[in-house]
Amino acid sequence: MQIVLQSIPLREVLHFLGWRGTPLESGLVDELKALCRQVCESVQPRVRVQRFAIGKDGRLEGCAFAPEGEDIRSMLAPCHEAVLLAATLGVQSERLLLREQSRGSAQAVMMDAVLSAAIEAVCDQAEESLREEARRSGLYLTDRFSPGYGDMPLAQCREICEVLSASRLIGLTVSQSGIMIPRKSVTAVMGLSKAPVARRPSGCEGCAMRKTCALSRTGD
Amino acid sequence: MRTQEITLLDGAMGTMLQKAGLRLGDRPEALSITAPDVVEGIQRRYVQAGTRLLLSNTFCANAHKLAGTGYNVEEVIGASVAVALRACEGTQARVALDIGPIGELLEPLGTLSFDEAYALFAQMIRAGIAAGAQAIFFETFSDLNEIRAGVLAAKECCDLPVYASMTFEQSGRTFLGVKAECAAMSLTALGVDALGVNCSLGPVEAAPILRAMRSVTDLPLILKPNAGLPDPQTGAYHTTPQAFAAACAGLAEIGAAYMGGCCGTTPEFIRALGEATEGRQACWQAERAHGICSASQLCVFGRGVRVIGERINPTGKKRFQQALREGDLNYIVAQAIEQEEAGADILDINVGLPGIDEAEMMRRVVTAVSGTVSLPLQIDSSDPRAIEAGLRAAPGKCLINSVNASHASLDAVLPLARKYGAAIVALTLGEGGLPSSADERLELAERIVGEAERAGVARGDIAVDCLTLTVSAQQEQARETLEAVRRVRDKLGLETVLGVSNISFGLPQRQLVTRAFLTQAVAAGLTMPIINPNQRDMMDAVDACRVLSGEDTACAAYIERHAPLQQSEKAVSPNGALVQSTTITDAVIKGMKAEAAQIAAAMLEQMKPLELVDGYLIPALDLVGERYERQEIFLPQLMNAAAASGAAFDEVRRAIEKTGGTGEGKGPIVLATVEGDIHDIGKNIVRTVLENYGYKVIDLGRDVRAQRVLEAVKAYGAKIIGLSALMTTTVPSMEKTIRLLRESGVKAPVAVGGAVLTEEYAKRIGADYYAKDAKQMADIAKAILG
Repeated sequence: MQIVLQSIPLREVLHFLGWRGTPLESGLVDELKALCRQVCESVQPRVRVQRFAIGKDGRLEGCAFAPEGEDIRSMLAPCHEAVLLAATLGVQSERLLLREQSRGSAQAVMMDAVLSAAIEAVCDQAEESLREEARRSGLYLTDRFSPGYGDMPLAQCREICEVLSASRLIGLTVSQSGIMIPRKSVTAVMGLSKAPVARRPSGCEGCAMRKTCALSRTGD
Repeated sequence: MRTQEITLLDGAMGTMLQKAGLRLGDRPEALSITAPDVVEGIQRRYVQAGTRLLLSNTFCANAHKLAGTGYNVEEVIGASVAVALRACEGTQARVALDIGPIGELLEPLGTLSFDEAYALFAQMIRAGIAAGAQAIFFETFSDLNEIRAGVLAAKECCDLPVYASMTFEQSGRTFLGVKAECAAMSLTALGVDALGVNCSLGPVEAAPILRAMRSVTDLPLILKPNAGLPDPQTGAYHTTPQAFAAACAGLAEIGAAYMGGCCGTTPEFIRALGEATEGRQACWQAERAHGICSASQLCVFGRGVRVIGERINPTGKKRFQQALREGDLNYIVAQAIEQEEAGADILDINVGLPGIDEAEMMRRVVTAVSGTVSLPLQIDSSDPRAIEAGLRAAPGKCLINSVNASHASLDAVLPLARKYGAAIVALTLGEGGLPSSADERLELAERIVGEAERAGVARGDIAVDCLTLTVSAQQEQARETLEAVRRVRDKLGLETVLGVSNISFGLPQRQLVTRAFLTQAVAAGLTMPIINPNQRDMMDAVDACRVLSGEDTACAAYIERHAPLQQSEKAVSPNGALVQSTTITDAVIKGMKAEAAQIAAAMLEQMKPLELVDGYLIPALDLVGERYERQEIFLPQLMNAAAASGAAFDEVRRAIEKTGGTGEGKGPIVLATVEGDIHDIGKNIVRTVLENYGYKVIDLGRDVRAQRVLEAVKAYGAKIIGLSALMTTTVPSMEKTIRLLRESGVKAPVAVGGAVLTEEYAKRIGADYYAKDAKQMADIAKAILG
């Protein structure tokens, strides 16, 4: 799937930096905007998606992947097909982080946030185009559910990458300790259903990170 | 002109196995054990279709990928090679051990070390040889250093032919940014038997990539493309076998001597390929461009002036020496980036310092630098172990600085140049000491060139250093050096190198003499000046020389660099008024680095360093910390404030050192992100904050083995150890590190932090302290060290 990263929403970047609406100096905003532009110009996002029929036992047909955990199973329960997604910003994102790190922690922190917002934007675009495609064929797409959300084991990102040949086809690898490298990468499962599906509420309630998230402690 | 019979390879294996029922995500290699007949059936069809070099079903049969399958490398490779040999029975076809990428990213971007990758490949190769493989075939690689590790393993384990193929995007680069020419130059340097392209593209799209490779290699080429580009919607391939074969066959004329197919191809494609190449031979010009390269940048010799940046060198630089002793790679990488941005074309890497393991440091610095800058490297050392460590670690083809005419040097360095295919700097110095004339220099150059060629180094890969001596000590030698450069250019036709800055040692206004020497030397034929590219006037002189020599066509680069000068200089002029009206507290809180340093310097004229620290800097930092906790400011502002106070602390340290004290802070505190984890931003924030509270920090970096933490703790006498891990999967290695420290009798307290940790979890894995953020770590340090 071809995704071009045209812009990165500044709000998202600020969100990743833990911004709470305090006044921002214009210098800082300019710096973040410049980093956003730099990232859009230099990283090449790559996305792999593949559809699989869901078998009676909940396994995906024709592949060695069976989603684990109650949460993902209940999301896929009304679905007849699943879409596996793997997305990455590519190694250029790692190089940018290393370069900024040698300039100082402030720069690295900002670059990290910009890149996090960038991979989210890439996934949102990919999801949007899948949703549109589903709509055109009269189907409904569920939310994007990633290993590590709810009770779905983080380790399943390795299996998704294997099924999609992510390392060979988009350069997304999983290290021995289970870390996806480039770090700015996402794997996810979505379901396709013939009937409308319930979407997760967008606030903290539906978020798997709600127990440990620093942002949720203050009730945001 | 060279010619060679065309050897047909096979076509796709994975897609054929899927048609036979293999599920996506299962290991196709295991089928050689569980369903050998299926594998053999497919391979036999390829051999019947004309395949003469058949790849075994071993693409991912490395120990990491096979983990959890219940089979080991020897079993899978033994079975796969046996199956392939059976499929070839009764024909002339040979079996090559097929090796694909490991599937993990190598250091410094990933966590797999070069040596681990080497060991995984070596294990496969030994198993392949034992099973009777007749060649080694690397394919579908996108990381130059990964395929280099494989090729070195093959060359060091066996004498079988080695074939190496990488996979490129239409841009002519791999996912990792490796350029086709760089791949070809580097693999040629390592002495493979053929190299080329497979997968990702169809034969039409692969053609320009193969042509790019042709310019820098004299070896036969490999062409093993997909069956065209897949349909973006369905992923299906639509190219017919005949169209595929016709497009491939045309590339015989640039030396594609090994042809086969990748994804989407079938035995029909191979048969069509056989028909299309019937009676044809691969032929190509046996000339290649010489030079050096990184994974993404090529430096071809003979194309003009190429600046070698000299700043990565500890000689006479206290701060650099400190960075080496403390293993502070960030500092060294920053020097590399600065030189790249200043316009250097090649970076000299010299890390020789008494008391450090030069070979290990060379390996670490070369790895770190090549992960962040894209310039080719010059490995600069007199220790053959360090030279080899650098050549091994560097993705690309390096220049060795240097080999001289002494037997000891020739015997030690030339075999390394030959083995790694490196280019060399021939330093005109013999057993008899310094040369005194141009004649003598030329004679020494000729002797080294002769010896190097005999040792298997290509003549075009030699650059001659005619040796710059200090003009204030031996004035007549400047003329001799210049004359020697002229003669090397005219008589030997080789590249020349000079350490330009040596000329002016001991003179006032050194840059005047250095610059005049540079321009005279370039006029005499110098092509590779070793200079400090951060000195603007030196780079300006290079720009001007490139205009005069005609290298800078239509003066385009010169105009681009020098026309907008006035504007940018104005923009960076310091604002004096601002400084006067700002207090040090303001400067720190607002993160104004330059102002903080200026104000601190001014204040230090009125007060003692400690007064400034305790009375102003620490309170300012505390204030920033509190505002951060109250969420009045957020992370980037906190970090900018830390950086500003860091700049003020540098002034404090300078003031203390001026009065004869040591500017060293309390500590040291050793920090590391544990093995297996590369998330180091949190750890780096902690480092910045601790340093800005005046503590001395030894930062071991990320993905640090427990043993290295222990060694550093002992070597530096750490008072506190800070460990970071972000992932649940890497907390166990944090626990392992703490256990090793305790078992080895280390008494210093251990503080841990990271997203998934909690106070309770920290206690459970044996940590003494849990720091939820950098501020808390600073509080812990204060409680322990004061």
